[in-house]
Amino acid sequence: MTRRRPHARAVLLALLATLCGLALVLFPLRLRGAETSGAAEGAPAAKQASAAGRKGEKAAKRVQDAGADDAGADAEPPAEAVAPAEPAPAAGAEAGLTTLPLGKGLPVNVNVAVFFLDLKSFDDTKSEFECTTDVRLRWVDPRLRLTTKNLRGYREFRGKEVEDQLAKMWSPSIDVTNRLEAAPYVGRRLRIFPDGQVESLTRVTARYKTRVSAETFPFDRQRLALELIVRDDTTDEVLLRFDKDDVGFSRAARDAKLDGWTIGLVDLRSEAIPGWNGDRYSQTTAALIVDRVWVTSLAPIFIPLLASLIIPLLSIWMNKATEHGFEGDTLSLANMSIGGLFSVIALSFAIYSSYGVIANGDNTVTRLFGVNYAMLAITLAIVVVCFRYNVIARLFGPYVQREAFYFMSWALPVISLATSIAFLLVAAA
Amino acid sequence: MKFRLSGPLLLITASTVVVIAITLIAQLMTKRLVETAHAGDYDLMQRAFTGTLKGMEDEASSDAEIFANMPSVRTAFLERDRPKLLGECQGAFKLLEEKYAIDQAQFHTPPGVSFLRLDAPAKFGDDQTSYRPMLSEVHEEKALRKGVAITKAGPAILGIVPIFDAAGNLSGSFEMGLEFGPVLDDMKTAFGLEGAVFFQEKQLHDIATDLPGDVITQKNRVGKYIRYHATHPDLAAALVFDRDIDITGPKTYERTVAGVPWGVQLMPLLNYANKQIGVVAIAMSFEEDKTLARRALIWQVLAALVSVVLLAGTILIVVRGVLVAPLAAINERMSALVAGDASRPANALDSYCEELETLARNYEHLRAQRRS
Repeated sequence: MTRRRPHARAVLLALLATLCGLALVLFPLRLRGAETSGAAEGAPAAKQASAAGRKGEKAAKRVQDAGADDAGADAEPPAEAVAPAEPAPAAGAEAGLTTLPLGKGLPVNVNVAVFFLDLKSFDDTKSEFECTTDVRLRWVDPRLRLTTKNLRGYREFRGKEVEDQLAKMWSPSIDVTNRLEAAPYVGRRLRIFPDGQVESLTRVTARYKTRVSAETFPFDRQRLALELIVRDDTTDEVLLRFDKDDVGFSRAARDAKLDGWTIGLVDLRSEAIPGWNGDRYSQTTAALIVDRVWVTSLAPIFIPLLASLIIPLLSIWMNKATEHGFEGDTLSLANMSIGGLFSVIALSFAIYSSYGVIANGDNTVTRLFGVNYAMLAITLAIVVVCFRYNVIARLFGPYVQREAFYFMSWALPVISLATSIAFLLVAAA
Repeated sequence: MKFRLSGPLLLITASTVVVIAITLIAQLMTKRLVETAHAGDYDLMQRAFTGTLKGMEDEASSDAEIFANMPSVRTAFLERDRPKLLGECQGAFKLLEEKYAIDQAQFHTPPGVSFLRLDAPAKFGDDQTSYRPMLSEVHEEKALRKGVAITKAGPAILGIVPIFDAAGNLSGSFEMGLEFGPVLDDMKTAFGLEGAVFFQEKQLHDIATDLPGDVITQKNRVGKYIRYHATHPDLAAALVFDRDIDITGPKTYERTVAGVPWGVQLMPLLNYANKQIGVVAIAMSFEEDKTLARRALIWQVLAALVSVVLLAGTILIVVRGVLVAPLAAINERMSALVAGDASRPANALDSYCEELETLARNYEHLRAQRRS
């Protein structure tokens, strides 16, 4: 026992010495790369630094492994340019980094781009759509800059790491104002480049409210928009903008489809929204343009609508003028008009209940219904005034009445048809 | 000639011609209005670009003036102390580079030899007089020059100021170069205009040797030019083709991309000596105007059609209902009377117009005589 004790002590000491030696050798090597600028300098917490270093290594490995798995991968920088295991800047641990980055002056420009990965549905009746989008935000925070020379690539954070990293640094407080509800899973990715540029990608599936204008139905074009607005910071502090890279990133996926609609380009617009006391808040709208496939509404809406235009005309065509008046029975002709009125009312109920979007406001369908009602009113008036009471004959004689009847029998269909076609053409224009 | 047919036909034709003429005039006026609006838009595009470019040139010149007149910078340059000069300028240049899109800054010694590039301090000593006429002229004329030029680092908006020693002799010059992209980006932000700038490929190839490799590519090639910057590259590619770009003066045209009509204003891009080095394309969407014009045409045609129908109806009712048909009825009765049939009375006299009323009365008189 007595022999063994010194032996064990020696082994323990040797082990401790080895560990200390290793720590002394390895620890300075780690710190050598951590030449961070600004607030990063002098960040002492060795524990944090080493943790950040591990994070950096992990991130670098991920980037190397990363293929073009994400939407808009063409806009991403080359992964092979990643710097080897740069330690996370101690800046990340600085409490001061959560404030607005003033290094490039105010306002801080935040570039916005939106990629529409998948379009799940668009309910124009409810003015809602559901889609999966990648929202890319880019800004520069000079405090996160790494001063190591010839450093390339970026550090990447994924999932929960993103939340942890964002908690340590400033990021724009941006809200999507027209979002109704979102799926619980939100994919996040954050990249920090050596020059201080930060790129945040957020993938979310959500339902959004949009403004639907059916004025040019069925040739209407709708904007499936995401309205991103800066909360808390005014336009003097944070400004949303976009450049040609963002325009290139903002598009719909090539295989994205939406039933009954043709998918177009993404339109980016930036504007300032007025707040209290003269404050203004920056907003960027990324709207996917979709065009309705008009053929789908031809059979259920426009053929019945145009056909119903014939009903009031029948009450004129079914009559016959003579030198002494009219041959037709005015009661049955009036019944025809009344029947037409009810059939148009029924048609309007049927169409408006199926296509709620066209029930309100001025659009092609309501205009065509207007023509229908106008024609019914005109023909009913003709039946009563001309056919029943012979007002024209009494005022101007039987010959004028006969000529007026002939004129009405062709002029009314011509005018109603021309007006209907004009409404359709105006919508298509 | 049957007046029953030819009379109304003539009147309806005349009315139709008048209505069509009025519609055409209205349409012509609408078209002119749209053209005038578009001419204003093209003018706005030109002025917006020229104004923004001038502003950037002034900015480059004033920045260069401020830099070159900083006492410590001046002293270091006059002493030809490159490390000291770099030390004096580097910090400020980095700041400007990051914040204000300034990407080139260079000191030259006469007649135009690079003394120090703040954007690339390791590169100096090359004589630029052969391909930088603006620089040569600053040294010859001893006066400030500003404008667009192509340098080794690529096209830039430059301001070059001469630097004099205490005795007033020219000691060299200093230039500041701003990136070209922000000119078009600013225009897009301010006016909603899309823009693209093209430079001659040969000049870029010969002079801008430090350009990144992704600039002079087949994708960016348009005729003899290279698309150097565009606010919307895909749109620019669809709007400006090889056949469009070969211009020596301003040119406008319209082109439809993805169903949207665009008005395109092409302008030659001139250097300080008014020699063309590239082309600028500015585009504005004419969709709203075109839609309104098309709608106006549809409404005008509909109004014309309704007018023609109503006029034709009025003519037919008046000519036939008031004149021809009653006359035909009296004629028919008169023929029957001549044939010995006096059984058919004329219609009530007040159903005729005054002119025919007399005729009807005479018929009734004859019929009464025949019956008696």
